[in-house]
Amino acid sequence: MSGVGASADEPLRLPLTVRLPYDYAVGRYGSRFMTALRDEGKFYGTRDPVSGAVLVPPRPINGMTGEHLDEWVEVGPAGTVTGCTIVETPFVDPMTGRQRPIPYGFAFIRLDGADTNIYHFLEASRHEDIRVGMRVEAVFKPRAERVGSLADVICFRTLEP
Amino acid sequence: MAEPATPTASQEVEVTPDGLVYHQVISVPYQYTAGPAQRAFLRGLAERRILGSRAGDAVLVPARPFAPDGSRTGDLVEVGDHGEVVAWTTVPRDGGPVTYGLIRLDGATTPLLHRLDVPAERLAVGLRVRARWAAEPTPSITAIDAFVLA
Repeated sequence: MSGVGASADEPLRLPLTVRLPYDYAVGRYGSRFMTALRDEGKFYGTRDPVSGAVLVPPRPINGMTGEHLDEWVEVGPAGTVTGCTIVETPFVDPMTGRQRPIPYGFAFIRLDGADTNIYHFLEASRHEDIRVGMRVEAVFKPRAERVGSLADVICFRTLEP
Repeated sequence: MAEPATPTASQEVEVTPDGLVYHQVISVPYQYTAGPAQRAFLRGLAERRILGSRAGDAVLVPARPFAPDGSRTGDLVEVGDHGEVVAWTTVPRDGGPVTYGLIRLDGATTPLLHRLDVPAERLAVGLRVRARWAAEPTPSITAIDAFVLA
């Protein structure tokens, strides 16, 4: 850094960092979902007692109906892509602090037995290898590496294009 | 000059009796290039000197390129590292309350904002204080650790 002892005309450049620490409380339902992901390698949702809709990730209230949801049902680990893209622009993954190698696939996935989507990475990374309606399945990290986060799932691999 | 480092992020998962808590940090590095008046002020701090800018009869601290009326300021002027408290406030914080003050340094017309490390019962407008310089000389406002009783 050009600081002390520099001539008066020499630019003074100051390296600075904005550090933004924050905590996210996952909540009762979110924690149960993430804990099952970690310990069992399974996805769970909650079923609306009136409409029968299964919300994934699980929620205590169905925002569409106002119903309280307390019936837990296993869903997935396979599902169907309901929307997808190939990401070509690098950015920092907030879960790891590293840029994911580009290109990579990203998709909305309707897990089998669910009525809502989760979003995650696809194993496929080429436009010609992805489409709405394709069948995919979660690829989990080994149990010892799972911490209770959606990053415990590495990606969704293609079952049928 | 090297490019600033890229942003980083991290996540740690804590298991609590009330469920999971993600402790997350986003760090965004950047580089700030000070203008001529500000860099003179900051380099002055690294030499334990406090510099202002002359503007007519007034001395503006910190040094700055323009006076409030839009005219260019004149020469740099060194002011004292002693002064008087013009206003102060105490903010509750984790780890104890922090007091900030506006301090009009000897020779200055405008007050400087900084931290006051003064016993609460002594805080008063008009109180005489002095800069407590940090051990490390740096071109930063933190070259002054705090203002203390003179």
